[in-house]
Amino acid sequence: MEKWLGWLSLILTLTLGWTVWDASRPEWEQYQKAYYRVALSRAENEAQREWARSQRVEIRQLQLKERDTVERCVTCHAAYDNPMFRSYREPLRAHSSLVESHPPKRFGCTACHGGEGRAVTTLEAHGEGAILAKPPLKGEYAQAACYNCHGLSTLPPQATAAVVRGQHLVNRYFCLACHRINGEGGEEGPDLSAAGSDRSWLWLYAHTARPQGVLGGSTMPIFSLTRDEIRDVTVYLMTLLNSRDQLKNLPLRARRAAKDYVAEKPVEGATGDKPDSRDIGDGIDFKYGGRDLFQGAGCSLCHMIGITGGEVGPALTHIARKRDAKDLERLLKDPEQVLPGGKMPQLYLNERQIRALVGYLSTLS
Amino acid sequence: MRKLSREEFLTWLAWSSAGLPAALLGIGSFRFLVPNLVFGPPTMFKVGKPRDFPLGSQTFLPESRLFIASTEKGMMAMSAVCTHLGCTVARVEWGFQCPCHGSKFDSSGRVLAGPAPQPLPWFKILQDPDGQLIVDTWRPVPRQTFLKLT
Amino acid sequence: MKGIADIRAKISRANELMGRELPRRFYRSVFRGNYPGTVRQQLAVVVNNLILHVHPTRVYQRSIKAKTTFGLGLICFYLFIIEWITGVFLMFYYEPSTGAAYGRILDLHYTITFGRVMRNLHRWAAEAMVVAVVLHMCRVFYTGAYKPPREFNWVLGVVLLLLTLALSFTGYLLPWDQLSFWAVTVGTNIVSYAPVLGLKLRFLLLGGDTVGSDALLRFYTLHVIAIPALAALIINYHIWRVIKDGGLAHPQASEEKAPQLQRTEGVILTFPRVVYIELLVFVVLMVGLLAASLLFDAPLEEEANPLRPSNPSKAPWYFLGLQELVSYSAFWGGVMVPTVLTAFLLLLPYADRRPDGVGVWFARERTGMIVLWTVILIGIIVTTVIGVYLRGPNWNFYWPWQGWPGPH
Repeated sequence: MEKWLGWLSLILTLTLGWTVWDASRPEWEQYQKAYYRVALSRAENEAQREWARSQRVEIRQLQLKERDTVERCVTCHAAYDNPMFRSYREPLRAHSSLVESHPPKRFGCTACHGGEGRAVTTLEAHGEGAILAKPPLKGEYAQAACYNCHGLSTLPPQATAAVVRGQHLVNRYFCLACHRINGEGGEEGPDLSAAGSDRSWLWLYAHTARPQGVLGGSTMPIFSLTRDEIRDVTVYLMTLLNSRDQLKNLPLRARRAAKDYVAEKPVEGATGDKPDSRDIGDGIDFKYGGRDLFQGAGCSLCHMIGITGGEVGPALTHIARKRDAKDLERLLKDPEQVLPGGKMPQLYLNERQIRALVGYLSTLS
Repeated sequence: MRKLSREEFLTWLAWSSAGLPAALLGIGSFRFLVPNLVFGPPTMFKVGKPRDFPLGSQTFLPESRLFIASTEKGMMAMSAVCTHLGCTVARVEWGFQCPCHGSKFDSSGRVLAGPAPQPLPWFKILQDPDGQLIVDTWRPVPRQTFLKLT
Repeated sequence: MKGIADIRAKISRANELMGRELPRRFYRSVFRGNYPGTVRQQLAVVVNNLILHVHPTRVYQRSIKAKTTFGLGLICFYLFIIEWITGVFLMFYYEPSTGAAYGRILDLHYTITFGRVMRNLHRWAAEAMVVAVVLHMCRVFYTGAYKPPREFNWVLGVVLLLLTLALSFTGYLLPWDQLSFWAVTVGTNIVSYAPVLGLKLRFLLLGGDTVGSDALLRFYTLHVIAIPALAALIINYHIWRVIKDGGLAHPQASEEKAPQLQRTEGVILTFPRVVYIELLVFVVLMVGLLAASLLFDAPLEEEANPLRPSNPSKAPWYFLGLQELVSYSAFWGGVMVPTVLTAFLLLLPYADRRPDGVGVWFARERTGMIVLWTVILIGIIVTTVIGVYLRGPNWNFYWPWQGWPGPH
């Protein structure tokens, strides 16, 4: 009996050793070490040498207060802000100059590039691991992410050339003959209104190139597109997101407002005017203003203010010039009455929320 | 020392062989509790471009609790955390004063009066390849260590 | 000279004290005595040691044979302890809020040293516990060990089975990913089929009408303190009753003619044999769990998204038998079957009072009961397997070799 206990304890010890071995020598260490080594060898003066020597090998993260999250991409892409690494190979390549308008410290990396920001291994961060399939958006593909926040026509065409080309291609090949996008198009093929949310770009790319290779028995024809064209169509499809993914990158406060708004939707079958006891919004309006509510309640999914927002409804940048507060209030209370047959949905907002929204909209002149 | 019998030795061996993985499990569990990351302010961070700190200026960074000064001798970074019990010191005419327990420091951080046991530490200040200044709060440096900008 | 000798004596006394006396004293202070060498001491240590005193001082040779119990009760107990310890460690990093929970789980996987192993251990031990508890119950049934005087301990066991399922189910929501969100949405909807109280019960369980931040907080509190505390109490009582009811069910014990066993025949000392075997079981279990945790990651999907139901939405696997039945009839699957099953389990020892076949596997005298139990068991297994492996999108039936159609 003693012998058995001894041997099995030995096996347990070995298993524990395996656990330790499994957790040691993380992948990112080698990239950071290589980074400092190269930086040291390329240093031109003592200050740069001292900088390279004083760097620590550790997990790094960008703390994004507005998005209420952290991103650790810079653990491996440590040279993202080092101009000396502009032409080095990934992961030690400096980011191109676009960052000026969207500093990573504020926006992070995944807002534009996708991927899993919390992970620190290539497999998992680039979405090829077991947990998540979120391959990152590189190069042109990152253009798709602009539409997480910005309206389709507000972006300069040269910055989103691939998307524009992709949209042209979708029109040229009459994709809408079979597919439906935002309520328009045929019903032969699946609805593509949220293609970017449902699928990764890798899937969309492979499927656009050869549908039968991804979905056996697919009746979709193979369009003889060039590689670049397939990429452009893919980028365009990536811009088609469901409402939640559109909200994903909004600032935290707006997202909170959105959540509270969702919680407040009446139960199916209930009438529009709910009893006051369940009027959750009563206590909430003190925490956020009409501006947050505008984004949170989903207004910005259809309406544009300035250069952010959707294009389903009219832009509201100068709405106060067209409608006064009373008008707006009536409209928000019952859109059907003011704009019969219009697309504007009944939002079931309570008194305070309407007042907050009207207050905000009245400032837009 | 009495000699162990074979049986006793085996017993001893069995118990201690079970003790080894138990100890490993304990150490591993403890390692689990040591965080690899902090969600507070980082210990090594960029404070800004040198031109944000013109010659002769003294800047207080409230979030990192640091003073950055630019003098003719170069740039320096000094902690604004009182060495007594960790309150943030305030800049006054003759140096720095802690509002909590009245410690006083001169303009280079030396203790003038009060309960503070040590002077305010100076930190290593470096220049990043992109030109920004970096402060490393894990590396105190001797007083009067300046970064000469070229 | 005398002075020096004096000091020397003092030093050697101090040496003696520090080198040999102190460790010995420390050992004695912890274990309340020296290492038990003689039979008399080995009998005494079981009574004197807090952990060992739940054992009898001697057990039947037969009790430690693998095929008597397969150690299943002990394994359940160990799994509970492992769950407890790994659970406490996970609590150091977990945060029960809808905004932070998922990120915390990702951090456990990605950046916390041994975090992945810790979560995997917790998950696999939990799944193993559901299986072990059911197997333990089957063992007790097939050996007729619920018969007098052990009826009430069987009832306690049934309660522990329900608590195990409750623990597993409440823990299921905590990662706040698509899998857990929709599993709990489906699982709590099965609850709502109960007549009269169903919807109210669901409202109470979720702290609202939908699975949201309050549901997460409730499930967390139930999972980390309310249910474990209750389970720990009942486990203690369960084990205590095993001893008080005369240890393991023994074939001879029920025979009126031989009420007293020959005390010397087939009896061994608890210390050290039984203790060794118990340790051995723990070490084997730990090796298995660790290896599983290193090889297989606990499931984790995208962050919970109330707007996008996963299709098919499946409850945790141990409820999929019920979900399968619910898909035929909400009343039968959601109400009748679980109620009748629970009632059957609770009343079993009081209904089946024939004293024959105690302590014997598949006793011939109990053929009827054994067939009944086996049929129920196979029913549960078959519906569960169908629910787990053969149900695809829209709860349509698919053989494993048929691919599921994609959402497109």
